[in-house]
Amino acid sequence: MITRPSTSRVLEDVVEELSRDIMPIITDPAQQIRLHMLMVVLNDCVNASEREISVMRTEIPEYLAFANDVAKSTGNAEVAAAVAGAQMGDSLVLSDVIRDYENASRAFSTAMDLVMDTVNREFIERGEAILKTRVTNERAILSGSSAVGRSAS
Amino acid sequence: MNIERFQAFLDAVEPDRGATVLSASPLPGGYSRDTVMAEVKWADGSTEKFVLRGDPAEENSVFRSDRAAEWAILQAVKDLPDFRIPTPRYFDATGEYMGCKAIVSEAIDSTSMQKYLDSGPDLDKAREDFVAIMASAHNTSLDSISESIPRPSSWISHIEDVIANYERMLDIIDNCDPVLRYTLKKIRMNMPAEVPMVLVHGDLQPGNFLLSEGTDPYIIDWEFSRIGDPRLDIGYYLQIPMPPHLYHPDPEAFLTSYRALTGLTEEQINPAIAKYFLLLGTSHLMVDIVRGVQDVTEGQHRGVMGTFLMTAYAHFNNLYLDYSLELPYSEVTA
Repeated sequence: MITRPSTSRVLEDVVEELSRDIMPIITDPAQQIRLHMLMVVLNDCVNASEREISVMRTEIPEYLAFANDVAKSTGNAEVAAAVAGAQMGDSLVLSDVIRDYENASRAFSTAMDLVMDTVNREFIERGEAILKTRVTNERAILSGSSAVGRSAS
Repeated sequence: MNIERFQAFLDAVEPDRGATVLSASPLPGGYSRDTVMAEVKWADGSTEKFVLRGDPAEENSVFRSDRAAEWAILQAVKDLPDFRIPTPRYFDATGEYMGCKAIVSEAIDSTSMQKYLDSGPDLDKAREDFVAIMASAHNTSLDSISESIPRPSSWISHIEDVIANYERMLDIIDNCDPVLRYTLKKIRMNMPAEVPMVLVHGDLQPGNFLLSEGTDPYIIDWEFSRIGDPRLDIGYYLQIPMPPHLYHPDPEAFLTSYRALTGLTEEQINPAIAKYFLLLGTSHLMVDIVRGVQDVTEGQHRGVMGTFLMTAYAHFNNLYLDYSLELPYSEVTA
């Protein structure tokens, strides 16, 4: 593997090229906005290429531990089955990690549904903290709301 | 939509007026529809400017709305005394001439309220003006609106249909987003008090109010309009990102004015209820965003918006979690 430059650095360089040499020669305002949007997307990809596998591999055990604890504490068969069907594999291939992450997310939701229905405060507090971390990680990778393209005319 | 297409369209719908399309320029901005500003010279020497709103090609769009439904709404509200809209003039219902379904309205010599806000006006006064325009739409008697505009059979069926947007989102992404699922559950635990249904705009924000010398403001972009709960428009406005915001600096002042103009009670609309309605008032857009993201996942192209709106997805997830965390728990769930 050629590691220099990294994928994130390659993408940063593409954004720089678009910004420095391509954007100035585009005169159509609509196309300028489109290019700006694409650069926002590429910047998100910079963040994602650096961290997304790591973030998901960190969150998956949190989801599964939560769901497992709920299953053990409540004896709920549906939650236990969701946990059993959502274990994290060893593969670091992105599509495999995404599959594991989505399965773990579903197991978490099944457990969270149960503790919300029964207003189990202890588990609710723990589950809400996990959701806050998830959203914080999402926002760190995706640049968040942008007014690009919203017309004021 | 271009000069040649608009010319052919006018030749067909106004064969006796001798139209010459002088220009047709795309307008930047807007997340959903393609918009073109056109100037036309008629045979009698007069000129007119028009705004053309058409559907982008499906492979280049994320947000879905029905141009025929929008045309029907425009026809239903164009002559109401409560507020003004740019006069809708023509509709290419099949896209035969324009290349897509397209609505042609008169162009107003105006500035948007968003641009006006950028100029540094008195924001307390601007807030009162904004609330008054919002209330003018919400106070419109439904009896004055054509029966052709669908009415929900009841408030509860309407709200259930809006809440079902979360089920639609979760279905699209195979239930893999715990934030949306948590938000849906908190929504169901905190059903609000019923209010009378009104004309809901669906995208009520200063960018969609046009200010013109000597006339009342115009309200534009009715593509998401429907009969429903007025608080959807308030909740929707809470998430508009463009500063200066007219709600967040003083929610009580905003809602006090709104209640005074509409007759709603403090139990029916207060800052907590407004936040709740952000969760509902944005859900129609989030369904389209989630669908666009899923389409891209499955290898379909949805134009720049398909990927750009991932930032909006993350933004809404953040808002949804923030606001739903504040909602209390109840053991009664649907």
